[in-house]
Amino acid sequence: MDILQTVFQGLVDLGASVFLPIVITLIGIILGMKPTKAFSAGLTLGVALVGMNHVMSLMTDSVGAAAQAFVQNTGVQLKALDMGWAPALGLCWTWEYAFLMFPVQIGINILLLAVGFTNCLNVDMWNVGNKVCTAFLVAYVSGNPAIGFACAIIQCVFELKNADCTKYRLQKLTGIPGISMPHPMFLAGIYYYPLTHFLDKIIPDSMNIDAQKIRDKIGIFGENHIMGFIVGCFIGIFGGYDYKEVLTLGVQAGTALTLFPMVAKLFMTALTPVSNGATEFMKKKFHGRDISIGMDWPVMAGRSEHWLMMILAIPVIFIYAIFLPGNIVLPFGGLMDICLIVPLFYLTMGNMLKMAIGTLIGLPLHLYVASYFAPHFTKLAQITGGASVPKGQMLAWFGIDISELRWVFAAASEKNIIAIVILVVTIPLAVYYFKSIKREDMEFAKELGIKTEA
Amino acid sequence: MKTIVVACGGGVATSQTCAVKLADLLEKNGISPSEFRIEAININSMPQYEKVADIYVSICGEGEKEFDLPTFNGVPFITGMGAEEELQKILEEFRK
Repeated sequence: MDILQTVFQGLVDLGASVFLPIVITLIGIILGMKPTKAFSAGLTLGVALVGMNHVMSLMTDSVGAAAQAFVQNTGVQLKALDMGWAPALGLCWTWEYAFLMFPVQIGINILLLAVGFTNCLNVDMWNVGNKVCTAFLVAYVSGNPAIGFACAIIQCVFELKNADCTKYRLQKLTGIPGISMPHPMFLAGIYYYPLTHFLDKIIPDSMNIDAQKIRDKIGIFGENHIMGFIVGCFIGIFGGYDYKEVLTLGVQAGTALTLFPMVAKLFMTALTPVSNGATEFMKKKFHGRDISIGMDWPVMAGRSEHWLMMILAIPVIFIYAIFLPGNIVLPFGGLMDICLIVPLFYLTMGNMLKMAIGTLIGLPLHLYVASYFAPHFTKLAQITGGASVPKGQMLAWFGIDISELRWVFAAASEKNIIAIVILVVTIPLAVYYFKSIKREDMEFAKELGIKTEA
Repeated sequence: MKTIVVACGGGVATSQTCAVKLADLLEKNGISPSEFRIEAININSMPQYEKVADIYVSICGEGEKEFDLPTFNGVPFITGMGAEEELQKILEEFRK
């Protein structure tokens, strides 16, 4: 055991960009890949990590420096620079226990399918990173990785249950049968459902706008390079830069936002063989049984409502960020607040007016949660060397999936009284949510002409 | 040389998974990697790619805007169900 420990520690000490390629190569070979292909996948992960490190440096050197000038010039204390979901989840993979989450998620899924608790077979392996994130945050706050994994397991269970309870809703929205949505962000419904349910009562569905038409006009603002350029220029102007510096910063910021997803997709390239192996393994186990395939949210990404609302929300995010007392996050990488607006879309079936009200209420919560977790993500970057953080600055992730739940659990474990009270209230809210959402789902099934057992 | 684009919400996870799997299947069906380029993109960039791509593989269901491109369904490559039929359709487009 001691030798194993020493060997393992020795490997970890090599650093994530060397250690993780070895892990992926070994997993690939175990799953029956050709050693050359397994090595290629493994090395791709190393490339992804080093690449992400470089793009993060580009961001902190250019936008980060401007953000510090912005703070000095305006006196608005936004010292934590938001990196967005792509680098944040990438960073989570550098946690030393991250890869244990694959067998944990797959094992839990198989167990719950076997006992009939769920009918969802989750094949979305990107969001294993989301469980890694939960485990890391809890492990960091509590000092105990086991508690972190326990929370991640609870998250797995509720994700699957939520997928079961909303699969006809998803079919109605996408037209695709046989799929479901175990993405963690939809658990935000526990808190937002009472609101959207109330709005359903007072706002008729006919009060809506044609999102497609408006999106065709302003869709260009949703493109990463354009969004980055505009925001970069703004930060530069308020940072007191001259016009040349402002424009240069704009281009650099556009570059960072364009390169983030390009580098992040390398994580997926490296993980696809693992995800294939896992999916095949699980499918064989449950061959012939009526299961729904759990997917990541973009099966709904064709709808215009999300994107239009996300673009319209950006100026509001900045107003909130500047004027909310106690907020320290300067939004940048996560300007598209997917994890608030997509769940609202899901709950309201794409009603823009109801989504707008939910967005106005949710954005400040997301900013405060991002502020709360900023030291944690900064620490993660520092201990794993996943990204360099200049002195006096922090890294943040604005728009964390299930921001509300994650804050409640983390703050409650630190004995924050408000969080403990909310945690207690969360239990009946969750019961109410799951009951109501299931009932609505049965109504959707009826509309779709599907016979259900219960 | 044909350019295939796969689009999703960020051009990172779902679209890239689909792209890697599809590229693998195309190669296994005798299409050399030099004959195609496959790219995962953010769906907001579709209007730019509409002009340069030859084939669009969509992973979105109903409600999506129609693009002026031969469009195929990418969902089967992720769920694994119906992948063979969709692959045949794409291969047919390739041989045109």
